[in-house]
Amino acid sequence: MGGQPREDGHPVQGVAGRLTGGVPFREALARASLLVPLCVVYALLLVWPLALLARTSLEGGLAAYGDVVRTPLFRPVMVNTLVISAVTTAIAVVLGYLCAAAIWRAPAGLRPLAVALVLLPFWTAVLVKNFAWAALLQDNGVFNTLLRKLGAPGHPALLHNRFAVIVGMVHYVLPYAVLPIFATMSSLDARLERAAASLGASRAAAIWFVIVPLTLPGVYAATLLVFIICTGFFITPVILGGPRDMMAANLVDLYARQLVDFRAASALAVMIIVGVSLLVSVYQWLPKEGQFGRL
Amino acid sequence: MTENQMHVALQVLRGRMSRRELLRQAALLGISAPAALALVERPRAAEAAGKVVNLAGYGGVSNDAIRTAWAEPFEKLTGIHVNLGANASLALAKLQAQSGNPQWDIVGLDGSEMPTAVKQGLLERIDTHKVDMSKVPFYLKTPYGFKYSVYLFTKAYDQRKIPDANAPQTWKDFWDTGRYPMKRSVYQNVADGSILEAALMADGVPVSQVYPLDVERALKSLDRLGKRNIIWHSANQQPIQQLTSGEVALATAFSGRVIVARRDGAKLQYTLDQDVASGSYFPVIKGAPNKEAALAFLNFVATNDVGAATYMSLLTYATGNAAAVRLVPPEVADQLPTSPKLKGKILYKDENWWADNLEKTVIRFKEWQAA
Repeated sequence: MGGQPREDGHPVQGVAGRLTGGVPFREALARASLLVPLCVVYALLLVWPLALLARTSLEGGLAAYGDVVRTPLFRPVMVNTLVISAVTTAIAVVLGYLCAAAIWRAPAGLRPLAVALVLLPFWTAVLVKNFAWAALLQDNGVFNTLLRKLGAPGHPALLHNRFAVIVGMVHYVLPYAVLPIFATMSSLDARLERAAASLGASRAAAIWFVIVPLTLPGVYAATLLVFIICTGFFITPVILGGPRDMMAANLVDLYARQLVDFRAASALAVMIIVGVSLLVSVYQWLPKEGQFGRL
Repeated sequence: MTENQMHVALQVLRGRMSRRELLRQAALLGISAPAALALVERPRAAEAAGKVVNLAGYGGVSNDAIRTAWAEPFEKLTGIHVNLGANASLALAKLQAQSGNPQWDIVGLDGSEMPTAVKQGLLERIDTHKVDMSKVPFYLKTPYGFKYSVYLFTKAYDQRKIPDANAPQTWKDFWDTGRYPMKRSVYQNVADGSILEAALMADGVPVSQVYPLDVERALKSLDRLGKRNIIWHSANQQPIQQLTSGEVALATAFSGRVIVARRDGAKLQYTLDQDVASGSYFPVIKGAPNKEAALAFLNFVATNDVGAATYMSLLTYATGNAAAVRLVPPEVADQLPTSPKLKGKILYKDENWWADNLEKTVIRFKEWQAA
């Protein structure tokens, strides 16, 4: 910015003006004071517990961090967390994109129904969804019974493995993929596609060269959001997975509940929080501007 | 209230004296029967009104039995309400003790957790003037409490798929994938359950030589059973559900859960040989706000014969008040983990070994599971 006039025409008001976004200092202070209750709530309910967690993890210096990193479970669990999260994210974003596109292009009458179908699982408790999948996938569950009735030889093991974990997780995170992508799509100007067609683009070309690039910000946002949520999964690997699908949160649980080593549990939690915070900062820096202004 | 009257009242409250005995003594002291009852019940109840003991147990049928056998009669007698919760664990006990203001006065802990809780200073020592442990045999008590429950880690099976004649009598049978070509549900908490002990016995180790555990040999034995033949469970009611729903035909389970399921009509059964006996305590958490009420409850559990007999009959679990066995039907008494008839047939879990080796064994087991 420097000494240039701003886009909205307000004159630039020196250093203080720059910090407060062009608003006089006193008024900025008054505005900021409105944030005080929020800051107090955050400090009490978020910052304070996190500080306690960090303090617990640092009892005895960095020893707890060393112990956690050296345990033979650390590497496989971290690899599991990254692989399961990445696969889930990839599937959820592809499905989410198709789903968002379907809602976007649905006739006006069907749209509320389509949105409701996305939101219904969004509002269903994760345990309910997990146990529903367990009932469907178990050896004498709905799918395998159906296969047997159809005369299929043997029955595939569908439950207590990575497949079941990913199915359960995709089900949970799908709305988080659909909503940002749908938001980007619905802010697109419908005339763009017609313009592309008038310039000779086929329908496929219009989608590939016009629509998809313009919806990429939504895709990036969905990808990061879903991945961040995936890294924190706890109960789905417990209910639908086997021991080989242990994720980071399950290792924290093992330390806290079975080994009652709160230092190690805190150290691991701090590492996870730092890792996820880095991703969240990237998410914050993602361009939120679509072609036609803010979403 | 004279000292004599007080003595009578306290005796009743501590469960040392039956109501009939109270009335006899009251007559000797020249108190009418209603007055005597009022003496022990109404004033105490009024004084105790609003008094409560918060006890975290394991939930489910385990809590049901505690409620019927002890909590309800105790409340009737003293007016102190026992508020029963679930999800007791060493972690809960630690959080409670560290908070400085525990919400739970008593947190149920199993034998393998108890030494750690003592070592970390999470528990109150039991004042033996307030809790009379004279009926509890020495091997069921510590300075921090006594075992209110002794149970069996057993081999449960679905009678619809496995006839009793073909039931797994030993862990070697349980391991026999030729004889039972189906999945087994196994408890994955190795300290609370006893699958490593079972694995060693399946490998031919006699009951008397299981400890100290050879963890690597146990894991090799589990490898022979094969991970693909195992479904892991983590909650005590899970194997019962999996057996009744037909998901598995064989499972490890705690014996009382099988017995309650049978009472409800499930076609399940278990066998006794090589079962592993372990137990749980009701320790009082350091700084418990209702410590006196908690101790009064523990005293009731340790001394009240009817309560103890009810508990044993409900679950076929033994309890600290061993003297009450005489009130239990013989067919139940013979199956209690403490029955002399089971000596040499079953294994008593070595909780001190577990306390000393908990962390490295659990981590090693999880590593094996994840490999």
